[in-house]
Amino acid sequence: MAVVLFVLLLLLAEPPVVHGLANRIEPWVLGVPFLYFYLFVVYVALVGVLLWALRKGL
Amino acid sequence: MEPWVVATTLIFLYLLVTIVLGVVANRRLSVDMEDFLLYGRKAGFIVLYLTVVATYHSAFAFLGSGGFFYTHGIGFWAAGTWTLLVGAITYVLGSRIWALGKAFDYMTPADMLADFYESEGVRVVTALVSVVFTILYIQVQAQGLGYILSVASGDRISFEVGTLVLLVVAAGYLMAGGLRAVYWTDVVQGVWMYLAVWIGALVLAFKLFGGPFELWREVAARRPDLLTLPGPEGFFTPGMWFGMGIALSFGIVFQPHMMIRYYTALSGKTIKWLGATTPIYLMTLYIPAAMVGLGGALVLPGMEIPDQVFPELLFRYAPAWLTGAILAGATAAAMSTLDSILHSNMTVLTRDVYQRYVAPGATQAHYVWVGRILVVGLLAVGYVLSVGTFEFLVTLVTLSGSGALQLMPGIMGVCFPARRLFTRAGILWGIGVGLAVLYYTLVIHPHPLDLHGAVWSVLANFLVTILVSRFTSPPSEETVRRIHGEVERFVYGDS
Repeated sequence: MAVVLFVLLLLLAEPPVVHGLANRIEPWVLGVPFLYFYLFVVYVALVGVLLWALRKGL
Repeated sequence: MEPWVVATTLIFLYLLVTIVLGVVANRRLSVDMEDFLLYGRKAGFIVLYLTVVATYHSAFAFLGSGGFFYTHGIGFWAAGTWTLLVGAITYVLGSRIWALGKAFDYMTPADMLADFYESEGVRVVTALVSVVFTILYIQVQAQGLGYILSVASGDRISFEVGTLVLLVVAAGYLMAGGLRAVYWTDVVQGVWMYLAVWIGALVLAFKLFGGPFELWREVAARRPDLLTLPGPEGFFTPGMWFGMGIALSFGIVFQPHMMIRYYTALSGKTIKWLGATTPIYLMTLYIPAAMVGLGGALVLPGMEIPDQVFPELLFRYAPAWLTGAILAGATAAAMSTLDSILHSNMTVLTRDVYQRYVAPGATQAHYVWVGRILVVGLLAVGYVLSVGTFEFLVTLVTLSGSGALQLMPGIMGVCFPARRLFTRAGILWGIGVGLAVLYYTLVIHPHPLDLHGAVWSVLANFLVTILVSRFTSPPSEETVRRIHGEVERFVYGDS
């Protein structure tokens, strides 16, 4: 489950998603451009999956 | 006080700290290979965490990454993907490598691969790949260090003298205290460089723009081309984004100075903790780097060497004490990678070459001394490469990032039990073809179809490995049962 989740989230940070849907400046989110904020959220979610796997003892 | 005095003094104070740590580490040293080369396999979480992150982030964290953001814009935030991948690879693969190293006394990547594939040929090729493609990093870090010291001193210390001084200090504490000295200095370096980059970036953001959010707004207003893909020079195409992720995650983890760290952990759980948490440090270091690069593109447009954007901004706009502290942080970043590469090359040459083929029955103390002599040799090679201009170096540096990636099929074959096994012939042919494709797709015809050459090379490598393995003899049942059995015990049993 953790592997699947990790891979799915990683795909959100890869083309074509990152070059298509996420590739914009607007809207600004919390004072930073959209692409930057989007990737930050995906990266934090990926860290979350790793920590969850650790907690579960996987 | 003049900025160059502050900067140079702080750097030399930092060097003094590393020398003291080297001396203390020497006092704690047991004169045997496992302690000198592998910290006695007793590295706890905090030490291992900081040495991994400090080693991963080199002078590039200070110089190159700011330069990349400066030239190619927000696309370099792709770095987050490969740092997260490094964490996942460490978690899954690193823990298995640790388990095998503990069970079978492996010290180098070649130990593991030669044992499973029952081949001295695999050992030699792995050792060659390990050394040849990372020895260049000695040169790259040494050049970064020489540049930092000459900039910090206002050119009063020449590039050549600066390179030599810092190489000698790093080699010195390594020779004195072995991997213990490397790890302890990495603890200082890991903390110092993280704080230095963040503080420097924030000070500059506030001074030049009124704050980080104002910086982003200003970039959007004046250089919106820096905030979308593929960037102003079209660098971050989909193929490059994806390919750099593969090359800079697997390609770096399989380099000996990273793989050897897995062997040194206290437990498998330590490695899993490492895998889950190191991405936090690695990824967040690119946040201030982005501020420096993007802000620098507005304040200092048209720089000939964008890699110098961070030190240039510091010297012009930051107070002298801060500039000095940050340049000491940059020195720390470069030395933390340099000492690790010196150590790993020393370990491979001592264990895989000298102990194996030159003097198999010598004492532990003898091997420790040979290791120390090898460090002097590596220092000399590193210095000559740093101060000379050699045409082949450009090619080799281009290849070095993805050279170790060619070990991927071999390592996966050991660490993931499967019905069909890779064979020694498959591995050797795969590495050969992979390197040839790497040369073609990075040097002759770079990035065909806009896909990073590293991806082409590893695809070719796997294809050949799988094909040749189908028609050649696998490792013996006994070896497979022993090694894959250990992997399964670790993964499904007690860890």
